[in-house]
Amino acid sequence: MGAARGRLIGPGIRPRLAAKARVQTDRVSGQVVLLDPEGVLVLNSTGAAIVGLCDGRRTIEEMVAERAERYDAPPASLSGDVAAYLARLGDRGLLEIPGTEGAAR
Amino acid sequence: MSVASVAPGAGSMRPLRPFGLLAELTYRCPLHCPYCSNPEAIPLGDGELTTAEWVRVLGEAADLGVLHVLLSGGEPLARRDLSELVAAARREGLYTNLITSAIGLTRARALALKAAGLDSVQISLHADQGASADAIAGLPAHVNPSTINAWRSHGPHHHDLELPG
Repeated sequence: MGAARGRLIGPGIRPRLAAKARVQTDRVSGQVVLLDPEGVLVLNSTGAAIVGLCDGRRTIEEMVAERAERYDAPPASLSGDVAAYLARLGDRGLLEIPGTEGAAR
Repeated sequence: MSVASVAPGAGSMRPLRPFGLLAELTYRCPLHCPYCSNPEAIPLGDGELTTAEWVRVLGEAADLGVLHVLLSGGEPLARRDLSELVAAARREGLYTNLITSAIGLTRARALALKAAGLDSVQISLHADQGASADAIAGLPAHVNPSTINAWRSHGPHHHDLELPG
């Protein structure tokens, strides 16, 4: 189905949020929440920023570069954390990789 | 259901609030599964909330902090206003998840529900063999896999196959 599992996470892929998932601002707490069939994930600001970059166009490398610029930090210092976070989302079935539909069947 | 699984930062969500609403829209159901707690003694359709009442309840739930609504029953597809209720839930920012046997879920109905904003569908299967599924449900209830594949292409986004324990 093109779902991004952990083993598929690499610097050159372009993940996007799975169609079944939705991100919105919670009207009660004002926090960013990610909704999917399994439940609710409350995202901290860093998580929300990373999820927001999962648009199916940016590569993970580009996402890391964007975050590095935001924090004025060397990309190498962030890449591990970004990859780990994306792997967690992928393991939960929350990411898709455009163009891979059917490839994993 | 697991509506409360939460990522780092969840502590700041306190005070506690409900995340999920199980909306049992009707007692009507074409199936007669022996394990089910759905009451059979209630006259069909009697005492169900009206469309306007459900719309109000969905809004009140969202104000309480609910983010997730399970549309269940009975068989929720028995409600002719289901698309209307889905649309109302979406207007309130609720994630909508339809729990159904898929009996009555024609492609046209699936498309209408998707257009109304339905986020997810869970289809209950009763066995992996048609004859067994029908025996459990008390009538021909098994779903043809090709039908599910058609929904996968055209219908709402996600299908969980919920098997009774």
